[in-house]
Amino acid sequence: MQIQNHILEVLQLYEYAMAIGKSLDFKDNCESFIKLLLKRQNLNAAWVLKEKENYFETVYSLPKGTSLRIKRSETPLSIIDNEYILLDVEKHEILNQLSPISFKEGHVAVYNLKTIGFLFLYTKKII
Amino acid sequence: MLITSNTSKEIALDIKGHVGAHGALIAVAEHTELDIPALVNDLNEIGVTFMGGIFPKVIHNNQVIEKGIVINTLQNLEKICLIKELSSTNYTIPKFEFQDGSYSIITYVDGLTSNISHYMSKLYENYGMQTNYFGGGAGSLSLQQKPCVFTNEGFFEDAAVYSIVKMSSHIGVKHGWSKVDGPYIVTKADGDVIQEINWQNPFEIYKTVVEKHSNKKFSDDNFFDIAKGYPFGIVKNDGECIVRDPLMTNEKGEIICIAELEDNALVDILNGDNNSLIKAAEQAAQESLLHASKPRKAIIIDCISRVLFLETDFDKELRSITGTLKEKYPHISISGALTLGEISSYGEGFLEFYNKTVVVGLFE
Repeated sequence: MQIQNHILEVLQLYEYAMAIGKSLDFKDNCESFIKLLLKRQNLNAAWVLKEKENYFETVYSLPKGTSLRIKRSETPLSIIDNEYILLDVEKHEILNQLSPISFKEGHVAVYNLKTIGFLFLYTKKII
Repeated sequence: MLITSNTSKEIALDIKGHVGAHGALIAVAEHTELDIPALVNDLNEIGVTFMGGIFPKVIHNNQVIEKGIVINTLQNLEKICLIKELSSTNYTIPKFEFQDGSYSIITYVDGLTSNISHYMSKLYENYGMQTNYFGGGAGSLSLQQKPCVFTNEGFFEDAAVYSIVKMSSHIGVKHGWSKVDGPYIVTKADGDVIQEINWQNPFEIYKTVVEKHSNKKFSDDNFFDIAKGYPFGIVKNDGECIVRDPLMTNEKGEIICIAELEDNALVDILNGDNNSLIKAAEQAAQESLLHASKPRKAIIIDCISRVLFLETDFDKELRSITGTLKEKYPHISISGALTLGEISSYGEGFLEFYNKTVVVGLFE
């Protein structure tokens, strides 16, 4: 059973990997990969914030939401200094300011993508 | 409300009498003798706002109806939209400002057009988590594409219609199919055609698994008879797989399904029996009841291929749904349609287009 689970995991990673790089356009790439990720993981939203001249701006969001422009200095270091962090929405109100969509409950996972920015994944589910 | 009148004028007046100043959601069974463009004109003349679809069959309470029209009232209707040329993917979803409160989107889409998944994605991209989604694929069981959705603007094929209503809804989704073998990688797909599985001829792989499990042999003319019990399931990490219905093979041994698959999707080959499907339908009804407080109506969207699989036992599936709903809410109105694909999201996740699945929606 454990081996089967590992095989499944590898195959899922293969599917995700093959969804990346189908286009040289950043948004097309996000579209292809993030949409797949949302579908397969049953997530509710995802967005990418990119740093431009000491501000974070949304460069991709699914679903579409409001455009964000937040000062880097106003963003908690706990979020931008980690490689990966999982946060409970109810305990971290700041997340709503870092999100193009509004939510009241659930969880957000933040991945530091280095030069690309930060990938946020949101699920309504209580983990 | 079930209408069996024959002339479009009488039907239009019956609809007006039922919905009053509200909108009308119309499901027409494909063998109904009805001139849809005339009905559209008659409804426009008496000022009814509506959306509708032609389906293989419709549901009214415990009955499956081959000729008839089922009407639901669209209370608190905010907007009805028509999206044309779905297959081109060259369209825009109109903006809508959601206010506080619960919303639902009910959509009928030409179930035989291509790029339905693109339409689902565009809906979710624009309206996101601000609404629930519910609906089904319209069209004929002959699988010949023709006009099948309609609104005040006319009667269309290769199109989708949807209404945005300020109404809370609770949705249950289940299918009852379980894994026989897999996962396999769909290494090459083009829309609804599986061109390769594991870099090999898809039918050869499918045939090996299915013949062994079913103890039946594929011949030149029995593909669907066997395949209707062995759909594909797109593997998801959390939640039931998304079922894809294999319809036929082509001369290259490629498998044509009734909805799209992406390149590199992981699929299992599934199987079910009458009991597992009927049980799943009951669970979908139970799931819809979980958070409902005072539902006024239930709409059932059930795949026509489940009828083809269950045959006379489909009656049990329908009764398991209506019985579960009526047990808790004896006066709830129940109607629906047997569709070419079903629309909703599992556990409020991303919006999906399913095959061989039952979706139960409760509207408050």
